[in-house]
Amino acid sequence: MTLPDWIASAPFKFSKVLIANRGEIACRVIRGCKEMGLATVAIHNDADIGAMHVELADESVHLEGRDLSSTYLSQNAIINACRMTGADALHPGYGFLSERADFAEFVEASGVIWIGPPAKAIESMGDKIRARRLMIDAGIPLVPGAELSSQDTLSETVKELHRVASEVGYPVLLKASAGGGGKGMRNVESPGDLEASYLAAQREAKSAFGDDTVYIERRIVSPRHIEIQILSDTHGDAIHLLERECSIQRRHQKIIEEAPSLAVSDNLRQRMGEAAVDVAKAVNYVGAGTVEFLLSGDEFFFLEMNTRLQVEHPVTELVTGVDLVQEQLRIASGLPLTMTQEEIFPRGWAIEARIYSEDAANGFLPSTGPLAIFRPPEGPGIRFDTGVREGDIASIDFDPMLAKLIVHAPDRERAIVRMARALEEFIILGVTTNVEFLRDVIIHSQFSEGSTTTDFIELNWPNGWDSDADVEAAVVGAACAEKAGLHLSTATSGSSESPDPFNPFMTLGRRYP
Amino acid sequence: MTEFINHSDDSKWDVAVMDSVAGYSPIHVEVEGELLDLSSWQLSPTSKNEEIILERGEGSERMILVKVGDVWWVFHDGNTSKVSVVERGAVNTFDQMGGLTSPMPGKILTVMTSVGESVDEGQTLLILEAMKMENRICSPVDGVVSAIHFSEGDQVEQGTVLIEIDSAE
Repeated sequence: MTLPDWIASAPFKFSKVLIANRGEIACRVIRGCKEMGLATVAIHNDADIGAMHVELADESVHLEGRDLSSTYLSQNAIINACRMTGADALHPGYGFLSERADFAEFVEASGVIWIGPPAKAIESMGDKIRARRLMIDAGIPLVPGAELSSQDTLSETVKELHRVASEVGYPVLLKASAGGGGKGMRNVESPGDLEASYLAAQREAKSAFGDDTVYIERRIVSPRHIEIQILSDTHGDAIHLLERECSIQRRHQKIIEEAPSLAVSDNLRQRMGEAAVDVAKAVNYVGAGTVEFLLSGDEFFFLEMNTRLQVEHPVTELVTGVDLVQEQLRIASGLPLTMTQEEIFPRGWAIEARIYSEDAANGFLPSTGPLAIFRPPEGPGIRFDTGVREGDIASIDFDPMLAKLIVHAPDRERAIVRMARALEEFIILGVTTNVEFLRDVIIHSQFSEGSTTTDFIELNWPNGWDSDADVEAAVVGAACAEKAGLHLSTATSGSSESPDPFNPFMTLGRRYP
Repeated sequence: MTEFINHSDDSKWDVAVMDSVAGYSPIHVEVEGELLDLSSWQLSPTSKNEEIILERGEGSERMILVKVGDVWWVFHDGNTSKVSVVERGAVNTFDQMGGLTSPMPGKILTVMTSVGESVDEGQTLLILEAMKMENRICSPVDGVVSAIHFSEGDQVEQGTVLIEIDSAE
């Protein structure tokens, strides 16, 4: 394999990238590599035979098994896949092994270039206690909080729990020390609910991350979630790429993100941006990363640093014009940043909506089923990042995020109108999704006014959300379709059973990219 | 006449459709025993297998429909509805009293009640783990637990009856 020109004179050369992930982020990274002239290797488990990321990559290694621990989370299997295919660099995507310092070390020790931050930086930020100490030293403002490990006995643990919680101050948030993504997170209003919530958070932390340490912190009431994208190179240069606002969340997971933010003035942007760069420099960060802050008025508190590419990175890409995946590749090769801080300024407005297979009318419970019809919106100013196609199945094997719909427009008002239009066009039949709910958020007067706080959903739908579909039309339409014998030959299985990958009905209806 | 259930509000519908050259027309529509006159509606299939055009005086409205199992998925005016076809004489699962069904496939993590126990409305009965999240299954009524069909660690499918409760009323 010949090297692409851009990397021929770089200190660390590579030509073939293994993407240790799946779904939309694997597809996103594969596309970035292809545009940079690099060969791509996917990995897939039994549940992903024929998946979109497998089709997009030049080649794919089948890691046998259906569970994650022996496939997407198996460090040995993944390194073997690098050896088998001759991949000389590895991109971890987000989730899975992306924030595992031991994996970063193992990859590098195996002679494969790690497209991510140094293991030490991951470790410093992954350990919330150490991260806090580093931030205090660097002069970054923090939310009060403390870590709680299991004591010898349950009663001692509970006693310690109450002591720490009252020190931090109610209301408190409990979360898995080891993780993110809302897993293991609990909100506790008063001491009475503390013990039960702690035990649940501990169990979820254990099952999701294999570590049951729980972190307790004060919950800042009605804050905004503002994060700063940063890029650092191996030459000690670091810049920020403006803010993203990710305040609209359900179950502590983001569902709508935008860049820039109405709540961030030029002055605040500069202060937060400089703080984020200081955070990155404090841990000798290299690569793309995100520093998360809670914003209350014009006061901001460091929340955490995500040492990876974020789900919501496309809004930054659209607004700054910088391709973050391609910058990651250049940085990993040891090349310096291609832009300076002065060249970064917002161009218009971008909004991302995360499309989940979940039932917004039923407590946002995940739903499963076939994507019997899947027609994403098209037209001006739309970017669509997904890892699924019509005919695929939304199963319980993986995260329920099906796709990201991103719009770009000259200003926020026009971005909102564009997103509403796009969501109206989006047809997904066969599995329940949050598309209509997202549209109702986007067209809500509180959203257009910019009153976006992290409790937006609880405040505006205190009794839950309901669809305003025209029931009469739907029932009569179904009655006529039944009478006419309308049918679609693909994916008529309504069960959530494991799909048979060799079933011709599951593959014939697919539109390969 | 065919019976349908609309999933968003569990309403029961009886619908008879007349077939003519112009397309289809709903000649009998009854919801929860109440008659609706929608006989002026015209619905016509198109050359596409999943499309129906609805005309009811305000121009043409397009519907996209697909049947998955017994459920018709209907996209109309930016909204999606689910409508089940109920076989005549079949037991309507929505009518089964007191059965608490699993809202999604997952694993029973903790059973927090036992047979014979009195439970209050809203009380957590068990914890179901799915997609690495814990979900509490709560009692919809005050009553007494009459059966528990699974134990901790069991895998359950969506819609499976987990626990039965005799209502106190």
